[in-house]
Amino acid sequence: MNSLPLVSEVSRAAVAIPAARFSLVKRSVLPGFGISLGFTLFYLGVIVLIPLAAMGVKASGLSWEEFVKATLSNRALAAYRLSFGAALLAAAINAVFGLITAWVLVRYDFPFKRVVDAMVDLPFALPTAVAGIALAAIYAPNGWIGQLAAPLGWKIAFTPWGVGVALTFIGLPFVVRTVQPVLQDLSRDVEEAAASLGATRWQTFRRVIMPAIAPSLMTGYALAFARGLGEYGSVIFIAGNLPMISEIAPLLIIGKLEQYDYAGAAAIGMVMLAIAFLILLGINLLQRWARVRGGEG
Amino acid sequence: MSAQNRHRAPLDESPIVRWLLIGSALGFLFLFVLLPLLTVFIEGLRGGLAR
Repeated sequence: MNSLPLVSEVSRAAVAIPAARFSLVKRSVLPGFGISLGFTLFYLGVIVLIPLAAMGVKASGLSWEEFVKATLSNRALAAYRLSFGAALLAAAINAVFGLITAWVLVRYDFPFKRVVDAMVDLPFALPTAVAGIALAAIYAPNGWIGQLAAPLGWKIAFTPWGVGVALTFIGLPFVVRTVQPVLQDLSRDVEEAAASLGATRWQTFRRVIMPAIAPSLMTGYALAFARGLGEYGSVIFIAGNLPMISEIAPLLIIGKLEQYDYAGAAAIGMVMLAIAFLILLGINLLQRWARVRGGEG
Repeated sequence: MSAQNRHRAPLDESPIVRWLLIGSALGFLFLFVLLPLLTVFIEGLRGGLAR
């Protein structure tokens, strides 16, 4: 009963194949390529491209001099430096400790492991403003950690370091959650093979495990970086927001919006988008290189 | 008895490395996730608890 339509389908496909030879586009065996590509482009267009294009249109209301003045002022340059520097640093911290956390959660057993595993997602669940206030309370000079650091001459809250702390908190789940499943699926056979060939544990990690998980680690890094770059809610409470010192670029944009300077805000947004795009492109190229090197090419 | 017994499985890290890794992961999570969460609860309930 059921097999009948299937047979006719197959025979129809068999008839269709010779005809496809003459089309310019290489036909896939899987059906529905056209409609799924169309839907993907439409969806991306509505959700991502149109808003970004609207930002470009807003910024194009400025003359060249106004654009330069809005985007290349000393205050704006300091804000870019802080935003990108803190996001890159926080993503790097998350890459190191996220990898360790994922490793520990996959490979070892210890008390309350399930609770710790669940805890990793908390930064997503906590409203960012609440996270910002909590972090500011802890790292302020009279907070739990702040008063330990103060005698050593370290100020964390209300300095650029505070921005880094907030972005580390916000980006934490990305690396763990991208590396964890890959580590879970990693076959132990290859490690056994390495060990039987005389590799030490560290050599096995460097030469066998690391190449396999490097692409996912970079994905996690890129996600954490991108998330940190746009983060606003948690940062403004802990950063202190001193112009030229601890003012992030998104705050500069909000400041311009509050003065009804929409074009200036869009111009700074354009610059941030362009730099972020270049950095993410670089990470992507690095990832492709790592994938080829890891033998998944 | 001797070295043979203490020889660990080839796919395990030494206990020191293992506990260092677990310790640093838990320390990191404590510092960056648990502490802010505790602060939220303690600050949130302070007025009620003091009474």
